[in-house]
Amino acid sequence: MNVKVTGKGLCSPIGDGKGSWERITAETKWYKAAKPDFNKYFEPKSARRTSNILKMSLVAAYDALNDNHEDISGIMIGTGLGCIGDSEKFLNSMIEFDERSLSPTPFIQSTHNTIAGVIALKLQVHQYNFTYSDRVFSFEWALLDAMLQLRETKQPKRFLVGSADEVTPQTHEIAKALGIYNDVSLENNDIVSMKSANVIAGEHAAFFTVSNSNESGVNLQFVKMFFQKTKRDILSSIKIALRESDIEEPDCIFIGINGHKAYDKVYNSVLNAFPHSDQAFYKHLSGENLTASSFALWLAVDCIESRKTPKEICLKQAKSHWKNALVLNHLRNDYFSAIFVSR
Amino acid sequence: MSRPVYITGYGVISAIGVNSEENFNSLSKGETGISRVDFIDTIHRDEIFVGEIKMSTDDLKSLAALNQVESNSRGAILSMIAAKEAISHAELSPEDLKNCALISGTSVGGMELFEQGYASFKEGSISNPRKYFIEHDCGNINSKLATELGIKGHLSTISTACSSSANAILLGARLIKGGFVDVAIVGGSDALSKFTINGFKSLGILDENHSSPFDRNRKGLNLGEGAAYIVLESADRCKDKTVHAEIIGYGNANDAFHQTASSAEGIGAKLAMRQSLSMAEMESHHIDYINTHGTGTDNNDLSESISMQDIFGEDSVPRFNSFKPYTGHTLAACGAIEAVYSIFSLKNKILFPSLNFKEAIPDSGLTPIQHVLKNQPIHTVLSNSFGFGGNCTSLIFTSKI
Repeated sequence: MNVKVTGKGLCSPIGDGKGSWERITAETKWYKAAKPDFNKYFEPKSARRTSNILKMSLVAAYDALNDNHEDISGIMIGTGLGCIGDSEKFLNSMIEFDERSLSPTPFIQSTHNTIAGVIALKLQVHQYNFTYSDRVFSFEWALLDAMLQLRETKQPKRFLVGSADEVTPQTHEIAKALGIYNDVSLENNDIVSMKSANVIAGEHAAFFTVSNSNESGVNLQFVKMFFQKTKRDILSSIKIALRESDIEEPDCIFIGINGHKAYDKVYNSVLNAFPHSDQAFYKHLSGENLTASSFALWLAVDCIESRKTPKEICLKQAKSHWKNALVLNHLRNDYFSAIFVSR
Repeated sequence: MSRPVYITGYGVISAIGVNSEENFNSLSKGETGISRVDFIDTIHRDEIFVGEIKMSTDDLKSLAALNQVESNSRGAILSMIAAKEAISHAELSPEDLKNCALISGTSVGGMELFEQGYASFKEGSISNPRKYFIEHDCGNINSKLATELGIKGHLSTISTACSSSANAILLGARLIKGGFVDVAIVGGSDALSKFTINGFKSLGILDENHSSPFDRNRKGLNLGEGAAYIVLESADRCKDKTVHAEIIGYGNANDAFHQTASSAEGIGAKLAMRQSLSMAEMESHHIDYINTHGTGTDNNDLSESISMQDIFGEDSVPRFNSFKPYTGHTLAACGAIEAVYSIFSLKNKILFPSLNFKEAIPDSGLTPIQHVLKNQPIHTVLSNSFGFGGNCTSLIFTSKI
């Protein structure tokens, strides 16, 4: 049974993705997500009590649902670091008030599954509700979980699948101290020419409806994750999976390069194996975070649906449009993921 | 494809023991692991009781006998101790490990380590940020575990608060049933932290004495720490293996009522229990015993009682208990720890008492098991785990294979 991406929503540094694909937020130390139009769906007075990551997630989720809130069979969400804004807030108040008379609100909202829980609450979805948090496999598992369940059942079903990760000032400083991210600067704003020394962080939420019904959409063909696998194993597994989808070479490969010279070479074995594929990149728009692949999937689905090949993301382009796309992501040589979608 | 899912090994560490044998012995004697706080620097140490493992993180590290990785995260180290026991118990080969799924549940990951470095980082006086911060994310536990154990198959971590490791078991069982993998090592871990102690304190749901689940005068929960892992294998691999139990049903549902509190009628709990029963193709009277979530909070125990009565009948709720008075509420780890305890009951035909219970909740009139009961015809167990965000999970284990 075909599993399709039938709806999508995005809150990111390029906004909701409906305009041109350029970062629209003021440059700070990282690529901030554009402020989502929260009031479009929710009471303005609740905005103050809703955290940044929740606002991004709620608006992206509601956009993906496109006013069809019925018959959601479950919610699967991936987040690399969870609701770190509220974790930070609670830790700060623990220090400031010496563990006395603390407000529980940030603690309650710090839980990783706050996002999936709040969406279930708002939409009154009593079904399956899972939150994955396993580095760059977080979003991939949410997607794979939905895909496996949809393939196993004969009933038409629709899942809400998404991811969210945010950046906060303190955690950004910590990530810098760990050598994971750098502040935005002139030198590292150009990830293609490999001039950069380090990686820029970014934040976004991307949500999708994934269904096995007859609705129109882009087919989700496979989601693959590789932990500590050799480049050869990864490539051979991707080739086999592509062949199972009757594809010899993807029309376009979305590459997760982030400007880290040593690690960006990881993608070369796959790129070299498919010399005729177009190439697109995405982390110059999203920045890096543990669920960046969901941003890439949003772009890939949009390109396939609208038959466009925007210059803002093309590294190498010969085809007039893409019928399918292979989305790649990776973390520190240990983690590698591949998602394949086609019309 | 639908294949039976067998449990072939388990391992557990908690406040009542550093391995399965110690845990079993403490339960059999009705010995609690609840005590004052020794290893966390908190101002609440003399006001609260916790289920703390009485070993320093360094001592736990020695116990874990790490060969391939370095770790300072108590949660990750607890995971390694429990997972190693489970793997050796199931006699998995290096080849099995290479291709299996590893699914962990954790709610706060390396928070206990993170919070130790955070204040000095803010003051700008930290000398080794790597030690405190590099292990803070939930995925760290699996990364360490997989590297230590040589697992190169499928890694997944679930973070659904207090149902996390129950959901890890659910996912592992589903992946085997569907033919996605043949072997899954599933479980979870959470270490006590100042963060969670203050979080639950701020919610006003920490009992200042030993918790007393299902008692009319219950005052809240005691936090705990621990880890447990179980090895799941497809039945066709188990012809010559010792099988401890089978997973025949599971369900996950959402209460969709409140971010932290359960609905009065336990909507999510009932849905999860019903789903697991229907998957097991069982009527409610087939359940011999319920291993409840039973945290000892006003809200959970009432809501869980009412949902059990709704499903099983007001006067025909199977015998039940809560293990929280032994281990404390180990958050993400409790589903896996209590799965191991469920297997103890199935294998040894023994039921363990729910400690500290005196008087039934007037609205339910339900009384949990109060004494050790031996030679009981226990064949099928239902185990509940509920979490923040309305997350409700039920699992059904059977020894009738």
